[in-house]
Amino acid sequence: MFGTVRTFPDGRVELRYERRFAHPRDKVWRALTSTEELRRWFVEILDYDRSVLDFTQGATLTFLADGFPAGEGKVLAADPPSLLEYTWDTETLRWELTEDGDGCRLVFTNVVADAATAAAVDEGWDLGMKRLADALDL
Amino acid sequence: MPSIFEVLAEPHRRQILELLRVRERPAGDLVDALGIAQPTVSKHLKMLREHGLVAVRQDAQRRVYRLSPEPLRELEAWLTPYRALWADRLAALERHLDEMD
Repeated sequence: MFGTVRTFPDGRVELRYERRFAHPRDKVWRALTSTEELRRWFVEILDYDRSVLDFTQGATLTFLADGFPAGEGKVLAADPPSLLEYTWDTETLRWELTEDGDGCRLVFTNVVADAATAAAVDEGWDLGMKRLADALDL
Repeated sequence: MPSIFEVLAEPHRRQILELLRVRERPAGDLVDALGIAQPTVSKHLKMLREHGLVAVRQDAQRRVYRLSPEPLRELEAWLTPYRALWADRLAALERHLDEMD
């Protein structure tokens, strides 16, 4: 439930989660992209009245939270209802939805990177670290 | 000095750690197991040692390496809040989906 961890050769770290929902993809897509839905479950510190969260491909995102510097992002991919990928400062969030019977399956990955490696985010990933925690008995 | 993430991202270095997880081994065993040149293995071992991921002891003519897992525990501790954060948010998403029209 806690996600799996991989590292990439350039030092970025990926957290990966899989969940199955008993809801159709269209509905999950709405929960992922509509500001009115996001405010009900997504990151609590965000100011959803002032943040600009327009999840169309190529759009610029503005993440505002009281007491924090403004965060910026870019929508790298928005292909409803199957793929949403965007940056948030130096992190990348990727949401993939596949049909699964009367529900759907979500694969969510969060890539954590420092500023220097953020630019390399979509250059493709090769050898990852599979199951770091499992493999090394953490 | 590369970050611990970069050190762990290299597949041969991960293979060395997995071999040492089973038991300590002399450098020669690691060279045989990995099937890569001895100087390359030495470089990997040096980097792992510099990051505290392996420790070495001298046994007659051989240098014997063993796993030193403390830095991995620190890495795990560093990552835990991130992992928990998203696990919480995904649980909140699921609850919200149940309430949505």
